[in-house]
Amino acid sequence: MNDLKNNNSEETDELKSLWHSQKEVNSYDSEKIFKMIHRKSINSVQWLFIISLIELLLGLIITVLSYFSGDHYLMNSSVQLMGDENIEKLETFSNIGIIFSIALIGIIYYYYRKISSNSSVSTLIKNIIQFRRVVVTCLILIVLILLIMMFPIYFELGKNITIQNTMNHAGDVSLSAEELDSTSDTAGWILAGSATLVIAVFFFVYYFVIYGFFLRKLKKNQKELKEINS
Amino acid sequence: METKETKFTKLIEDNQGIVHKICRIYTDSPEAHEDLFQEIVMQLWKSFDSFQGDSKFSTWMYRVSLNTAITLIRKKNRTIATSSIDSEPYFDVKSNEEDEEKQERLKMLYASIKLLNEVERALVLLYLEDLPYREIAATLGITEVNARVKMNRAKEKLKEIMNRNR
Repeated sequence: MNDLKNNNSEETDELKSLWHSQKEVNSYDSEKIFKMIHRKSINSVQWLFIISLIELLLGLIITVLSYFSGDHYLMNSSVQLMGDENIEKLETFSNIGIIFSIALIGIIYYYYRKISSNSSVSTLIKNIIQFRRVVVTCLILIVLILLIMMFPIYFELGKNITIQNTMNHAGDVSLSAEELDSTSDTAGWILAGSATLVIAVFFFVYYFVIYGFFLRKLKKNQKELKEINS
Repeated sequence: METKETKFTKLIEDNQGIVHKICRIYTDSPEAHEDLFQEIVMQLWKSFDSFQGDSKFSTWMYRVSLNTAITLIRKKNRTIATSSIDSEPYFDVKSNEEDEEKQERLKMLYASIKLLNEVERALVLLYLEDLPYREIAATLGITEVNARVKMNRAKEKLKEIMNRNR
């Protein structure tokens, strides 16, 4: 019995000694470990890139489809109210929108590709800052261009609706051409202003929620990275 | 100035051998080893605030690392059926003397450990690492008596596997 116990003890001692003879050959240094814990920065960047890509592609697909559909998915009554001149403007803006979206996808992709977990800490910080700036600039540009493009269209639409309305009810209200012009102008400004406000608020809320979440996370990680690198 | 991150990375750098050994008993390839290593480091970082300092860093590290490895293995459904003594285990350690026979025996030991279930692997690792039963029990969240009973079974099983394949 004692012999058996001794044998077992010898065997386990031998195994322990064998186990402790191991020598690590593939060690990670501080910088590599540091990058591992900041993988979350790369993850946030990936999410931002995916969301931007989906959004731009969706916009691109809708624009291309509406362009080829001929009527821009607008109801006949809307087409009539907008008039040929505005439809032409909308087509031009659609073309600009397509080129702009493709360019933005390319730019965002370029900056996204620059961020790699294999780069040094300082390069990683630099690239994350660049990526943040590019995404924010693109977002501001998208909203500004949309507002600039849509403002004159909404203005004309508001104007035409008032004129059409007045003409339909010509029996009830008689307005001079000057008065009609001034009233329709006011209606145009009101519609364009309201539409601009709605678009701006919508995009502000949308980007604040979706992009804001990842951008804030990224900013926090970026701060931590900076602290370490200083 | 020492920040939380620098303190943490230094501690991991000094104690990474523990994580490498855990990765080696739960993975079969260098890629899986690296993935698990990164995952464990992430989890250690996330729970670093919970490290009170009243226990040894290595004890806390064993607990978090083994929990992460076992949870991931269960998620990926990597059961013992996927391991075989014939398969060449991922092995990047060498003995001090660079003794080939020792290398072979270490390979055999790792391959045998991999044929145990995930909790038995953890028990054997902690035993080979020379942790006292009190710490083994605390690491695995079981009683000391239970740890001793389970350990005896695991050691017996390991011995059987090693004898069978000698």
